Amino acid sequence: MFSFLTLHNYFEVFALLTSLFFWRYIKQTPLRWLAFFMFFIVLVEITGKYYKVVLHQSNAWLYNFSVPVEYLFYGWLLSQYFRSRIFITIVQVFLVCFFVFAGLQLFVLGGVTTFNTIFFKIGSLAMIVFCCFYFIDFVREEVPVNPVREPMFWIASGLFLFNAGEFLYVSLSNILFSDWHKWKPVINQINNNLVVLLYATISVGIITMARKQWIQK
Amino acid sequence: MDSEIAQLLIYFTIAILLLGIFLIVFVIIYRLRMNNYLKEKEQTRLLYEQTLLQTQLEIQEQTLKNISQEIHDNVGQVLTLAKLNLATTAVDDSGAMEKIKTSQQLIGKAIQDLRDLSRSLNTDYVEEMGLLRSVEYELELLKKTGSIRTSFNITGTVEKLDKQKELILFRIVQEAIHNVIRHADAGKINATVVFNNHTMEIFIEDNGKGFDIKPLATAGNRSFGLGIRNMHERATLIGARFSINSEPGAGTKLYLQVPLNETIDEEGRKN
Repeated sequence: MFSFLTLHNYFEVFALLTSLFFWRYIKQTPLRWLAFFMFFIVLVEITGKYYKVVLHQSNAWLYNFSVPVEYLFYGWLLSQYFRSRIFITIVQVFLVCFFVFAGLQLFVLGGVTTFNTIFFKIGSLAMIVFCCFYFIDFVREEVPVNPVREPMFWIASGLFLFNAGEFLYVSLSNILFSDWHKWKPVINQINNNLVVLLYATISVGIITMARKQWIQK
Repeated sequence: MDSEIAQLLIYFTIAILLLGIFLIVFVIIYRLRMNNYLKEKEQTRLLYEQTLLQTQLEIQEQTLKNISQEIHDNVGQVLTLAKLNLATTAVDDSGAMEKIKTSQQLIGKAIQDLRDLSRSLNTDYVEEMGLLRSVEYELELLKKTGSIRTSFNITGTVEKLDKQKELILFRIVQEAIHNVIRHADAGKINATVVFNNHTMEIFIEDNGKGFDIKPLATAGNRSFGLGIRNMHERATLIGARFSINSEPGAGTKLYLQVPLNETIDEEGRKN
């Protein structure tokens, strides 16, 4: 039934199942929203694939909506673990501006059906900066913290690597997208591997959080 | 040409990812070093607090000892002399003689009370008698007042602790007993010492009016009264577990658990 799904889709499903399986441990933490978010991501991916592979129709409209949501969510999630007031304020201002910008870009400037690469450019750069904020806060923490046992460290690392990898081809998108068919296999290969990395670290982050909560109980 | 550019794109992506991994590894190493630094800082702080507390206790003990000696050597001697003078005073008037005898008895009682007080304050007596005998003696003094019934039980094979530990434990027990006298309005006080394989447990219970411990416990150690905080700090100093349980109308139970073979070295490490 879902033969059109590829490896990275299974990692997304795995992250969703992990968040549901460990729900009782993460439900008291901001990571509980990952369960809903992963459900949203899996739904978008399956629908997107279905449109593309089965119906042979463009799925750009779907990703035009889902990509800003992803960046908004990750920005918000990271800000939940910031300690520095200034970092929190920067992220909050960004989230509001990005939300307004996404609305304008979709409904006024760019349109819903044309794929908006500007979201990727701004979003991935912002995520790299926010992950650096997290790392700065993380090393400045005044109590001993083991990075391997820190759920958000895993998620931030995954997000950082994903967006760092993505940022290169996203910044070259004007060149690459002009001859999309030629570059599609390479970009897809890079992107799919990065997705695997991201959702693997999210799954590990959820498991780590569950372990932490279980130990606390 | 295109495939070369494609390869370059992949290589660049890999290079950026490697840079990213390098940064994450750097964060991990920095964090682990920071953890070590924080642990060392915490150890130094604990050691400093412990030394400070120990010094305070030593000063306190020295002060108590001085008071005890002063009572014994000065006030006690003066009263003994006064009693002797009264004993050798002969008066014809039978009413006056009766008063002298009463005064003699009163002075005798005062001498005895001061001697008891001197004993319980003096570190040397406590060290000489040992913890168990000192606690028993303290309870006997209390019993002698007639206002409160006391009982003292020991179970298990008695093991001796080092003198410093015994003195600190005695001061905790003494504080607990004084708290019962001052605040509990109790008719009975039970002290039990239990020796297990590796621990010594001390239970002190009274049947007094008790108090609501919840507001104190939730607000943390700082909000406890000075007496309870002192007991807690003293217990921490010798690595003992200390807890108090109380409810209004249900008396108070104090619990102390002391590791028998554990000592704390100069660097604050538990052995």
